[in-house]
Amino acid sequence: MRVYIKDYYSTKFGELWEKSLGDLISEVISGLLSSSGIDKKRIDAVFVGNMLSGMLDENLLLSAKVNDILGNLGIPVVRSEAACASGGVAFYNACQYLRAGEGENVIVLGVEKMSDFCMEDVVSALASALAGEEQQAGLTFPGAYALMAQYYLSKYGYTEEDLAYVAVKNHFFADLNDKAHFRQKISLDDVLKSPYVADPLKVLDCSPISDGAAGLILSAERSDVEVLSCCVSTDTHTLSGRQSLDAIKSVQRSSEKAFARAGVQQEDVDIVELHDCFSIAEIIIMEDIGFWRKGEGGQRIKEFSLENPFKVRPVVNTSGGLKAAGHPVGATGVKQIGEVFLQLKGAAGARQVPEAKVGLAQNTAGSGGLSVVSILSR
Amino acid sequence: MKHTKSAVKLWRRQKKIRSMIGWRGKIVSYTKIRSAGRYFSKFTPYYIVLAEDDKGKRFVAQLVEGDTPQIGKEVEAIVRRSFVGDSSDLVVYGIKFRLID
Repeated sequence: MRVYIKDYYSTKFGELWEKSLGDLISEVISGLLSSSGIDKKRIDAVFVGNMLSGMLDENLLLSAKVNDILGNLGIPVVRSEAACASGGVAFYNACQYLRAGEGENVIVLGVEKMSDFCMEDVVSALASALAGEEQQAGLTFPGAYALMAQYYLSKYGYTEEDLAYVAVKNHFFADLNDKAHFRQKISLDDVLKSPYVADPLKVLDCSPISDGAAGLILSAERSDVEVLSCCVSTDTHTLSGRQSLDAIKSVQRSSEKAFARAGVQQEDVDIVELHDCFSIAEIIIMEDIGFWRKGEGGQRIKEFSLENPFKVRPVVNTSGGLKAAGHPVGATGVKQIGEVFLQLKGAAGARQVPEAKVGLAQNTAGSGGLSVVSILSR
Repeated sequence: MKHTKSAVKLWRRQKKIRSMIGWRGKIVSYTKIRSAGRYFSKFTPYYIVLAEDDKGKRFVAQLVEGDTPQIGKEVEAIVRRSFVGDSSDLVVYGIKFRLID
């Protein structure tokens, strides 16, 4: 069974003081139903990605909450939790459901409410996706990626300035995205002068704490954008169990599988949305997907030009990425697919990549314990 | 981090701690944490080190004794207090590192 994307809707990402978790879900569902014109009675199931509502808000059984918002249709609503890849895993589950012939139309929803809670509690809740022994050592998420960054910089002889190019590019694109958390351009100097969070990573190397929700309608009925493949792979939970600190095995595994299933290759891909939770992640993931060779990312990231942003292929993180579009964790994986969908439809406005035909989305959980890679085409 | 309230969970973990005492490894990577979660924020900034022994076994812990870490320097596993929650919580002990000169 083939799977197509019919529609996409996203709330604004950011510190949305006036919106609750339920408000964010309602906005996406009504946005999707009205823009697609599909009758809600034709929706067979909903797949929800969310990480933190149980830990931060003492709010579980989102399935029933979504069912209430839908007007008690009584259809299956399944929530997935895979830390920052909760949205990607919800998308994976939805694709499997349609491919199994269980239904015709489904909604995939990713949602997170983070700004209601104090920073320390959010940092602790996010760190719960790290292995127990690493949490107990006082490791944080920025800390885990900082260990990878320190290793990468020292092994290949790069500097913090090389990492800073990631944030400058992603802020450039976010400035063109009206749904982005941070709509402002920044300079290399801004990044380098921002305070350290976990050395060598600074505030402007890190994605923010955001609220937001994003949703898709997937269908077995033919439409413009097709999901060629969606694959999930895993790796060790601990960072210390990894084969290497400069590679994320789950990303390598999931992308190899996704390329094989889709029948396309790296050079066919025009646009990529990937999991730049920290600047170093974008560089390592570009290498692990196979767009760049291992160790050359610190140099290749500089090929991007602010004067001619669509010159290099693939164009990466036109939404602004997690760094600047924002990172409401459960929503991120769905937003990535949504951005690729907009690009392939030619509906990405000021950030439209000319003639984008094939796009890839990559969503990471934790420090790399799980990765979802999806390939779409028009 | 509700395990500070579970004596049984701590008891299970401490079996592992015992076997780690005296373990030595070389620093593979390190970072200085400036912003931490609830139980650790009062200790910031602190160093976290990932070290590897000659058999390839790796371990992550805080560095609490010695100067600035450097890749390649040797560390030894010691037992130290990890953190304490509120006054009714258990005191949690864990493995930390010290630099060997």
